[in-house]
Amino acid sequence: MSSEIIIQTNDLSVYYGAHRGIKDLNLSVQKGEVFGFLGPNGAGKTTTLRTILDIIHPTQGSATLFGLDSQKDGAAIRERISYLPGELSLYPSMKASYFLDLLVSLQKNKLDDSYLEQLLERIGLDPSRKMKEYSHGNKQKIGVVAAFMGKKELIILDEPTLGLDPLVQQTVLELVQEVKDEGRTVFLSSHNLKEVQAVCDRVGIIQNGELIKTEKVETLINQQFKRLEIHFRKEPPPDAFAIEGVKEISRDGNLILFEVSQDLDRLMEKAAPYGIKDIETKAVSLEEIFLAFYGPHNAGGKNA
Amino acid sequence: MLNLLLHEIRSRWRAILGWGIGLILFGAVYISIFPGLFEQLQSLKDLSVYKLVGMRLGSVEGYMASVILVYISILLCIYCIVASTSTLAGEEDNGTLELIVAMPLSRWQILTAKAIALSVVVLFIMIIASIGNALILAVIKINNPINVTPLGLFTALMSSVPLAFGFIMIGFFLGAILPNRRLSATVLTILFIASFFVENIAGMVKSLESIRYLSLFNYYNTTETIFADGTQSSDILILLGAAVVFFILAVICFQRRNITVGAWPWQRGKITD
Repeated sequence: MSSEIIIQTNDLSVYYGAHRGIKDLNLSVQKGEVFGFLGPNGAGKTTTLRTILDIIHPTQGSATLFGLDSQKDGAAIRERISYLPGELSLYPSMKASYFLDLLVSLQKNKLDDSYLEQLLERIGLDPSRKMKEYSHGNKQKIGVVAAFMGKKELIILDEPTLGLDPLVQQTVLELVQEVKDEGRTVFLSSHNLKEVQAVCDRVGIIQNGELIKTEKVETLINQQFKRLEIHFRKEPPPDAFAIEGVKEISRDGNLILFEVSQDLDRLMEKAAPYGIKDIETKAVSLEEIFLAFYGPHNAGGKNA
Repeated sequence: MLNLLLHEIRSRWRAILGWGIGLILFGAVYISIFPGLFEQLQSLKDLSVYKLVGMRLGSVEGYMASVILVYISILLCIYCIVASTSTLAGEEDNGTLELIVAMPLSRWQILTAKAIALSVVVLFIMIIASIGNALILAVIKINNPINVTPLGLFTALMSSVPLAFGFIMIGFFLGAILPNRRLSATVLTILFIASFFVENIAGMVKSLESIRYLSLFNYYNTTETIFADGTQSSDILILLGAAVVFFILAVICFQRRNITVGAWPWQRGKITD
């Protein structure tokens, strides 16, 4: 991964009349990384993507891509980008092959025909039919092929695996990984946290239009909270671990599962009198981190 | 931009054929029944209701002009209303415009390609319709004394093209400022009907004379004089000028538009808290 910045937003804000789209969004995406963009419905993910692409104009702030201003140099920027919208709409009477040709014809870069054929085969799409004859999943495959076929420097994907079967989902993740391996950049907005965890280097978490966290996936998982299973020699009383930042998740006799969002010192201090037979660290998924941010039990969560 | 333009034209080949042939059939019916109807229509020529809808039944040429020219231009304008509002506002409603706007094209290039393409389509429709109607007239003239030449009818029909361009560009402009296609089409239909009736009513009511200049139909000659004198170049220039003005306004508004949002201009991009 290079330190070259591909996407940079500066206090980017979009308002729809009185309604907030995004507010003071500052994020940067580096060349060669896969950046995951997470947030619940209505958080502002799609608005951010559309603003970056100049489909929506910012109310305040700015976005630069490849060092170019998204509004002034929109056409030049989009020459280096491909985009898969979250709500993909296609021309019903158009054949998929014609649609793909049309997209290629609107760009300066030549298409690598053999790569397109390879993509179609891997995704499992026959492009000879009209759009209206395809199922939802197959329409999404057309969008995926359109996003990857141009081998663009930056690929912006809004829910790319929506409606795809697990095998094709896996293929899409492999394609994302290949893009990364080639040193190109992917900006991935998704609800599918497992796929984000699988392919993303960093994630940005957006809530109510504000970017509340940007972190490496690994760091986020390790730092946000830990889950420890402690096997005690004697069973502690129910209120033994009423400590700030420590939550008892489950208890089975002498075996207690804790969720700890602070240093372990105080927990260990309280645990010591009951004798510790064994400690096991449990893996925390990105999904659990996400729920911790947005779930109703999160006091800081604005959705609570 | 050229590829988008060609795609837009290609995607409408059915409309070109369908509307072209449809307008030939329309003209064929009215031209062919005319010789038998002429004497009966003479008794109705002074009825205001006919004048209101632009029909002049006093002469063969008047009938040809008011029926063929007026109604073919009305049908053509209906196509322009549907096509211009569905091209921009309709594509935004359907979500397909998002894909096009995400391509490496400037907004003005997208709008220009679409506007030129639709103008070319309308031109093709009218070339087909005008040639067809002129040929039908040539056949009818063999047995009937009609003082209109096929070339005169062809030229007169083609003079409706600048009028159509005017409505196309107003359609693009409305599509660029109004929230959705339905509203754009409704407003344009109201403007079209108002424009048509203002021109005809103003011909009957002196006090309305001044507002007829606001009607695009005022610059489209549907009297029998068109067959002898042709279309005034000033009228063509005014219609083309109106088309250019509305096209420029459409480009300005489209440049500023937030695609996919579907909001009124004053609802877009204001921070209120």
